[in-house]
Amino acid sequence: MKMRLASVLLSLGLLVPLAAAPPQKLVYALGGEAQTLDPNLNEWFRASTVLKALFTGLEKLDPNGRPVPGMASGYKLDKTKTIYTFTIAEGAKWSDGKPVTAQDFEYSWKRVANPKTASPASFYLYYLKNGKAVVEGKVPVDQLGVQALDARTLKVTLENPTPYFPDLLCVTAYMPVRKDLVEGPEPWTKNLKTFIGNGPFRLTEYKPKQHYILTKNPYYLDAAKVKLDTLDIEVIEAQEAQLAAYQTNEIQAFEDPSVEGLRKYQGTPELNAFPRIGVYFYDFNTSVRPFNDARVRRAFSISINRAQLVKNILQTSEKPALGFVPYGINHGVQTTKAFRDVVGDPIKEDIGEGRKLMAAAGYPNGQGFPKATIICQANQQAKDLCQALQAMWKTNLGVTVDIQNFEPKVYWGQLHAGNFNIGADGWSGDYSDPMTNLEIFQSSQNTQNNRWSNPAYDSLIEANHKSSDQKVRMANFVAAEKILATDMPVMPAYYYLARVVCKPSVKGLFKTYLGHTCFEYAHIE
Amino acid sequence: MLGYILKRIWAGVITMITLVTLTFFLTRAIPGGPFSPAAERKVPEEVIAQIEQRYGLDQPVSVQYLRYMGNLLHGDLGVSFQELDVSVNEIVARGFPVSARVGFVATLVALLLGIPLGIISALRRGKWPDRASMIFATVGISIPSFVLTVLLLYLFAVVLKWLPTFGLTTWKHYLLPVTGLAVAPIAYIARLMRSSMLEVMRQDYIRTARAKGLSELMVVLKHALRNAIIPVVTYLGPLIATLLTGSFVVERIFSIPGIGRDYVSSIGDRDYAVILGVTIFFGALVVIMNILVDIMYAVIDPRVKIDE
Repeated sequence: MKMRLASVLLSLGLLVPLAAAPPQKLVYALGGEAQTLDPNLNEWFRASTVLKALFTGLEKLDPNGRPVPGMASGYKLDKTKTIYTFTIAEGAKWSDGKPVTAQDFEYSWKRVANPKTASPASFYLYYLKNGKAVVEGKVPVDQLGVQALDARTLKVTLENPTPYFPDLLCVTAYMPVRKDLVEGPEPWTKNLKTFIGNGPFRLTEYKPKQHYILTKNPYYLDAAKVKLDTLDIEVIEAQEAQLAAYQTNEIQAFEDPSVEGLRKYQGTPELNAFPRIGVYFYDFNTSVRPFNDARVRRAFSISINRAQLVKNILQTSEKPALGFVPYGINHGVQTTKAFRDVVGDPIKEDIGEGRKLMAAAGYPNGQGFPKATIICQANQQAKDLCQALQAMWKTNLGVTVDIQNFEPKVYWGQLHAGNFNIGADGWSGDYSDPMTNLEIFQSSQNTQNNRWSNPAYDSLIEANHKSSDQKVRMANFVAAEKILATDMPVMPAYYYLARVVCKPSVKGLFKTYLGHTCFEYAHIE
Repeated sequence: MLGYILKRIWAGVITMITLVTLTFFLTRAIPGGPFSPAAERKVPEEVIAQIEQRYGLDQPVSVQYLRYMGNLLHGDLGVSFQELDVSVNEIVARGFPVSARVGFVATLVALLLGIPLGIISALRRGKWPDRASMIFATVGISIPSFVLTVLLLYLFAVVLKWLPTFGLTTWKHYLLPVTGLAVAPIAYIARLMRSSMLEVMRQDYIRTARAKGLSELMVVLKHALRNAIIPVVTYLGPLIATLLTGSFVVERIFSIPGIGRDYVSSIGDRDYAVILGVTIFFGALVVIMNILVDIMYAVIDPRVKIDE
């Protein structure tokens, strides 16, 4: 009787779901090839998504965006808060079974900072003692603030107390590579035999411009928690093609969909958005009339409607930016809350106030306002945003602004050279601390396109570089943001979001606040 | 004949040297360099200087040119500035066979459909087969490839779910990209063939052939086709070179790892070595194809006396 019942149930397919677990394979589309497979030479988004599946640093980001132990089991911080002593976890291994050692980290970090390596990611090492001087070739590499005391102990000395140093350790520049492979006879990243990592997956097949096939790394420290057996990363450049492949179930997930894709999946559980710690903003060239006057800059910034820009031009769910520190960065004291939510917005849109400021600056109703140009990249969205701004300024302030656009390689040169009045710009941070988005406006930074300088602002940021008291630091950041909102060297537009579209059966897939997809915790249900 | 071929080869060599020299200096003249910023983040200038030194870009352009020409004589096309540790020779060797496979099938399809369409429409001039094929030809030439490919993808992959959306592993993967590549050449060949056929069919020798009592099929196949096909053969050289070297749009939409995609991306990236290397490769291909076409003239058209 039992047998008969079972066979009936089987024929109805009712027992099958109980018996067969879904294959733990995820097919993910990436919008282009990883620029490099060498973590020490990487500073790109796409490559970071691939590399973080293959390598792990001393720390790694958990699904809540907090740094948790990666290859290190823990660390001690001295009283000056500048010397970290990391202990490499017992059982930390490379994907060929060899142990991961403190020497591997010392070698890799020195390799990144070494001018001979010419790593585009070397600026990440500036936080280490002598970091900047080593990168610039002024100090020998062996004086970099990293030293392996033994195979499992790594001493790291920093220039300043850096409360967010564990966050920084999650970027690929701080990940280890193997000396014996890097210095081998052949380029180590081009051969699967020499491409050894220490991350949750290992590379088992790579076809340039086609795909990366990754399989679970049995030697990974947290291998027991990794559920995916296979991760197939397909390189599909065209957004239309990604959407088509998703609709035909050839892929299970893809990132940063087009407006078409967003419209299709907006409001469904398949579209997942994550704050990315970046802001899209416009630089004012503060060295040239008329934007050398803070009143004009402020008038321009408060006389636009950011919500309209997002709703009508982007047609997405980004948050309008009325501050300079984006969502995704938590407050240093109320650590579970976003900095933005705790301190509020320093900018308030007010067209009436904008008109008054223009009149005070000598341009009542825009009269006498000189010819100004806004520049942007030659893509549709950037041009549409400029046109919307142009119309808002014309209607609200009575001024005429011309638009000029350039292809990317030319555009950034124009911006850096200061050939503009207003220029589209943006910034994505590296770690979860307001410093990452505020230090870029310090006079000493080479990131400044707006040519703005304010000693009071500089000293607030400098004080925070040297302090580890989070209460003081947060108060300084609030004061610094207020200076930015008053002087307005840049006009923030919206905070970045990172998105992943995935099938309901895909669980645990997320984007970190850096915008990189994390596969370590993903599984198929 | 041999003298003619040697003369053409020599002209080809001169063309190639001019091409390399012009492309070399033009790439250097475009604003923005391979390591100038293409994103919001500025890489420190000292690091840029180190990277440029590694690739020899710190040298004067004339020195870079002489060094490049020296390497070229040894068949070395240089190293990509964007893909670390990847040579241009590798990029060509990796991408060209893929583009060529799709392009070869597209060329065959274009010839096998374009020539009969042109003949039928010439023979049925003014009747419905003529009108239908000319409507197809006009539409085929007019639709931009990026519209056509997206349309094909949407209709056959997403709506009908008959064909896969990306990759190149089975015969099914070839159908959409080949169609995307072949539609415009089919249309062009059909129009060429039609007008040339109409002209030939008015000739006296065709009347003579008919007067001899030959069937219409024999007249067309034996007498008319041989002369009418000459314009198509002229078009064949550049067509093959174009189709074999891939299309940016088709390769991008169908995720084909061909050389057409690399070529266009390299211009945006200012990857001088890839721009130059692929230009040289494409240039050589066009020159060779044109020489072969000239030789084919002699074979199919005895009136062409190449020795002169």
